[in-house]
Amino acid sequence: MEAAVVRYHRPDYIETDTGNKVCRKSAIFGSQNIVLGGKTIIQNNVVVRGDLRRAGAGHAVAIAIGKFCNLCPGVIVRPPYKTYKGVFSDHVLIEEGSIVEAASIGSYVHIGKDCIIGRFVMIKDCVRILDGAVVPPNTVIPPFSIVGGNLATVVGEWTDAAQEVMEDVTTRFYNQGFVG
Amino acid sequence: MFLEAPFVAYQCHCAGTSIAPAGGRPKQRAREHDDDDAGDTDHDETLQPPPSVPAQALALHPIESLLFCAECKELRCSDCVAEEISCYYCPNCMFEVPSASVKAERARHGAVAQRLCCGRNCFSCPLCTSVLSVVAGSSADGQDVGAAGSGSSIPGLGAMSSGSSIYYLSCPTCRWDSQDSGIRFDRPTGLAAQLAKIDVDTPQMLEFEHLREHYDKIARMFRQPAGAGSALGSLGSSPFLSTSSFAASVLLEPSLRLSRNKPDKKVTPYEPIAKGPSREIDQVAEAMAVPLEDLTTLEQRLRQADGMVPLKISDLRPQRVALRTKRGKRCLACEHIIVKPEPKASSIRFSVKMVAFDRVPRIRIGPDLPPSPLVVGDPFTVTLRVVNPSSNRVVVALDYQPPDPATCSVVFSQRIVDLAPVVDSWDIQEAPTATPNIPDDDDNINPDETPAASPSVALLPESITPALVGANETFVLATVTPTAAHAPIQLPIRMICTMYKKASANSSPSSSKPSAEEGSEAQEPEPHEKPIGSISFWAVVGLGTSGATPFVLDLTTAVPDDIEYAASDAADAADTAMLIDEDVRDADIQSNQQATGTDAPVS
Repeated sequence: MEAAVVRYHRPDYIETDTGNKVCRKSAIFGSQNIVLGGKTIIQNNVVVRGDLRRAGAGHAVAIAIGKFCNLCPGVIVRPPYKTYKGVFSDHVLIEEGSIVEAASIGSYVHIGKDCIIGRFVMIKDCVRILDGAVVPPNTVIPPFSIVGGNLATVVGEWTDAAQEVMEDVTTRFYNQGFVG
Repeated sequence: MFLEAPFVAYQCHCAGTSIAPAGGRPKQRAREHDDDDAGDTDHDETLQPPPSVPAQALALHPIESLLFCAECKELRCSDCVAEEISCYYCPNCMFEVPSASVKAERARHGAVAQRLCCGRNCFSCPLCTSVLSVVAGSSADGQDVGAAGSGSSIPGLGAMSSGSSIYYLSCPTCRWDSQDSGIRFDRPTGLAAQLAKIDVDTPQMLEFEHLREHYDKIARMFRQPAGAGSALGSLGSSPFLSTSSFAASVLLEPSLRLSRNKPDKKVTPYEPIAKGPSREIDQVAEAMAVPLEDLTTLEQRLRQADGMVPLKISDLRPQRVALRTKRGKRCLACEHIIVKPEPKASSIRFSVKMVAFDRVPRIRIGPDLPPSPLVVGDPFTVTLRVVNPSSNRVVVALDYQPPDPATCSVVFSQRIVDLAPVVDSWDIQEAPTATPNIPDDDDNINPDETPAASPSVALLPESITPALVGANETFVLATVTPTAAHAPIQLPIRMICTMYKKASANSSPSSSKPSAEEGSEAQEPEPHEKPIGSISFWAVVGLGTSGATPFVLDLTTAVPDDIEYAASDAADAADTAMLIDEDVRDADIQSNQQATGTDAPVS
């Protein structure tokens, strides 16, 4: 019901002006190509590959993450392809050990533990991906789906209150559940 | 529904009472101002809760899945709402199929419940169900030109470079492609129509056409002026109705013979053109001849929507993606709309959304969770947060009723909580939460524990700092002592919620001071503040399953030190029975912290 309070070692985290909390023990590559929307938490051992983009001058956004997102320990985020960026919207929770190469993830998305989200996957808003799901490349996941299984299929319909639930979970975790 | 150990579940009223027809319910209920006393059972009939303590776990739902009917003022689960489809869309291309074309499709296929599919370019792999992408290849030698990797999912990419090209469907996951089944397309668009054209030559299609001709002939033979032919005409032209329409046409034959028994018009029996293996033994022999890796699995066969049962993988055909719907929900009792989604495929907006999650107060467990093995006779304290998600001020009376064979004894730190309306979630960090809504004292339960104005803060576990408590939530400490071994420790609590009018801007949530007088809660609000409604429902707080009694452990295994301590502690608790003195509670909280708080906060 209630996620246990996570206590973090404050010196290990960098807090930006917009309230992002980024762990120093995470591997953020190509940080000039990464956008964080604010109040987003990146925990330890997270890998964000902003460097995977087409070589050349100038900087292009490789990974854009919205507000109140939470990347749990061990999450790996890569852009889907050289010329594409991975876009995460707001209130996205990605649990431990998941690998995400999605082209876009909508708001209020909950990705469970040890998931693999293939290239160019488009996850719409209000989607729950169960633990251990392997979402094949190019899949489009419509809103209010529960997706699970190795070779993930839609296994159910998420509640109509998904937006409220995810808003509650992510904002509460940022404000109360993640204290240092 | 199975719920894992620390849970809070809510009972939908449909489990306790049958749903009354529309308008059959008394509209006014619970207008009393003084329903603060939880133990007072005089008002129970007017509040009409389900009469019995909710015991069956099947009727319990997590709060997320419940809806709330504002008209009936009751919780509604998915079983007591009627659904109505507001739009059809393809889950892959998110194309909204207009309901007119859905109707047309239905009409074309008759009354047979046919799976409605996307009529555009969406196909799923017959092997692994992932979505197929269209790739281009050259027609000359069958070598792939543009099918390099999954990145080339854009149709027609290869066609630009090579002059004459063919297209086929390819699975990016299992590398199946439609050329394995001999399916190629001339154009990268309108694949569904092209596939239908290819399908004309399949044995099923030919057989169906043949069958149709046969019965058309018979129908013409017996045609009355009015409408013998109409029975056949309604069969439509789809070959994919095989089972039911074929059965219908078989039935048609004897009836025709019976009804119009004319000697000059002879009905010839149907001669099938397909010369497939008819006997099962032949089918088995055929299947045996196929190498094992080329055989289809049962799931793959069942997924073939058109009624074919392909033995070999090379006979599998790409499947069209079935449409999905967005559905509105209507209360079965009062027929009011509870949920109405916007009829746009990718929109998550609702024009009406009455979900219980942001309408009724709910209980959360934590941050101190119950210990994982619950020891009989060993009291522990669990923190229950009562949260008010609505924009009204709510007074909640927690009416704990022990289940029939009591499995535990419980002492609540307070039983009536006054919850301020929710503040905007964006302002939580910025707005200093005036004074946190510390637990009020409830005299009829713990009269000894009220020395000062806010003593309960001291009782709160250290992990809960007052700054973390929103104005719209309150902590209730429940001290639970399991009494029965091997029993689920669940606390059925009836929540009687009285809502007050939307708080005006100047009245801060802290204005209502906790008073020690019993029953003064409802008089606290200003005179103009009248209760605008009241709801009551059951919540069940599941804390886990109690283990064996320490005494049993003593007999079987060597007793660790802490268990011995627990046993003596339990003896203390048994002495003090309902009134738990400060020492035990403090000791308990400390031990609780030692158990749960593994790493101390680093400053």
